[in-house]
Amino acid sequence: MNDLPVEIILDIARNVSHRDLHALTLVNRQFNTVTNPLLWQSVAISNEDQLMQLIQCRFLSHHDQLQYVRSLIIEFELTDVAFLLLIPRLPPSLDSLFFVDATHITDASFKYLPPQCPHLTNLGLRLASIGHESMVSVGQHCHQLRQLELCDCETLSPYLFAALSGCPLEDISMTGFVSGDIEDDDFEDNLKDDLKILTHDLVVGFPFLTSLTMDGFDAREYFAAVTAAATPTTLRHSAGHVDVHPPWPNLMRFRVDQIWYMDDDSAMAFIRMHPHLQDLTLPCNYHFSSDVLQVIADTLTGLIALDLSGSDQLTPHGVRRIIQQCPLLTFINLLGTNLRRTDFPELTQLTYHGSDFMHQLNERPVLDNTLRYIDGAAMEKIRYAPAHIYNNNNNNSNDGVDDTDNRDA
Amino acid sequence: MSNVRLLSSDNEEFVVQKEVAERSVLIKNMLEDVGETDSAIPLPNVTAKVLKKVIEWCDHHSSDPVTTDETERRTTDIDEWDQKFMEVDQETLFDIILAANYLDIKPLLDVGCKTVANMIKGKTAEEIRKIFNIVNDFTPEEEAQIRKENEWAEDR
Repeated sequence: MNDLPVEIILDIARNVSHRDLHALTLVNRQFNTVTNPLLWQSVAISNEDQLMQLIQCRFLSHHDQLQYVRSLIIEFELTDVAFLLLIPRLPPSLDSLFFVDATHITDASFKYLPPQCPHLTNLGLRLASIGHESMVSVGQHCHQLRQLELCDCETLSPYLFAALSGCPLEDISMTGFVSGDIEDDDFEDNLKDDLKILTHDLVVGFPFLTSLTMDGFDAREYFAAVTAAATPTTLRHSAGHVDVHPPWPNLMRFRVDQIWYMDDDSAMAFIRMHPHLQDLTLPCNYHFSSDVLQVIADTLTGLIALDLSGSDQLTPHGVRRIIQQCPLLTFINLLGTNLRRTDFPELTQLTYHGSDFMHQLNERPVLDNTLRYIDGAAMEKIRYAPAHIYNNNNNNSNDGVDDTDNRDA
Repeated sequence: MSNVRLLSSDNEEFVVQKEVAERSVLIKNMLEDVGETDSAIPLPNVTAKVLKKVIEWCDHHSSDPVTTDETERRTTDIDEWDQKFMEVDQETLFDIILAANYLDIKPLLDVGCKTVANMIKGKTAEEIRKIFNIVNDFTPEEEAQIRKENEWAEDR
């Protein structure tokens, strides 16, 4: 082993865990030279002592460990001052930074991060108290930023995406965005105004977007921004054959909790414009018809996960058609929908296995007839069931169930 | 199916199916450059003993799809046949790894490195030194310093 070339030691070291890597750094000088940079590539700081040790390590030892760091996770509530001390010690080549709890981080420190680390590709902040100044700094310096997660950062300005338009973002997740005080009477109006701005800037600024996760989305602003001339009304007439350029041609994941100004026609137009969607959450505040389900089945043939939770006008036929036409689909969330287990007679013949979620439902069929989701095993049953099983059921069993009124409407 | 002749460093000749020999990117490129040839390809870095093992591996894996995807190779564990194949003494194991590296047979190199990685798993530095007969050339001060600096990674 003493004679192995460096690249082979590297290959071996890439196959061991972080803990084993730590042992390898202590074996001898050659191993240390090869494996130490690898160990320090991804670092998680979990307390103040560790941070201070890192900040001081250049003065204590001959080599600067922080130069190797590419990915940094800060797991404790770092103070603004401590972050200010850390920033100049971060390597310019840092590509990933994630704060588990950035409660104390404000613009006063954060705005200095982007000029120090212009090669950041991934940035995640939870609970940060940063505002517009920080986002402007990110937009000015981080021209390689591809992934951004902002979770419960309540001091952000609605203009953040305009500030970030210089970043080639592919994956955006922004949850817990608020506009002002929730107690205010005009809270919801403010939020809608902000969503309009956010949506507009998202559509205009990020052509490489593949994944969008947001609490709210303004459908009207989306279409207005897609084509300045087209309104939802004109799109409505051409919903069957949309020829406008999609703003995010590569969009694969769209998860939005609330959507405003969406109707069936614009929903269908949206789906047709993004045929590569693999993961779709249809917001629970929007009640779409079975026509939308049909368009999903016909368009999104690469669909893997679908969330229809909260929707109360679903037809078993529409859901079944999606399952049959989307061969990669492995999960449909149906929490809080009008669908019942009896809507899928295919499932009554399914033998459930221990860990299978549906197993629990099977044990209490009378108490709980809700269908919370359809997973892999159930999906297969529905996909390959002979047609007579469900055709019979849809004709007969509707009489026996109470809340079927809106199902056939 | 045409055959290829390979010559080990200790002058032993092996006749191998072209398809099997071409698991080695080095040999594949050589054959493309040279074209049809009757002369044996000399492999000055590989002994007959090791070459025999390498050919055995290539033969077993001759119909594997050629994967170029790094992540695909990394996530899968060593299959049963490969595990058995790698049950050799340490010297041979490292010789196979070196030969796979020289002959540019990535999947074999990968299996070799994973086998060594498995021998390292869960061991302390001292145990690793013992297993592979490595001399500790740190001064006690250096070792203590590194231990202190890298302490954070110990239980991760």
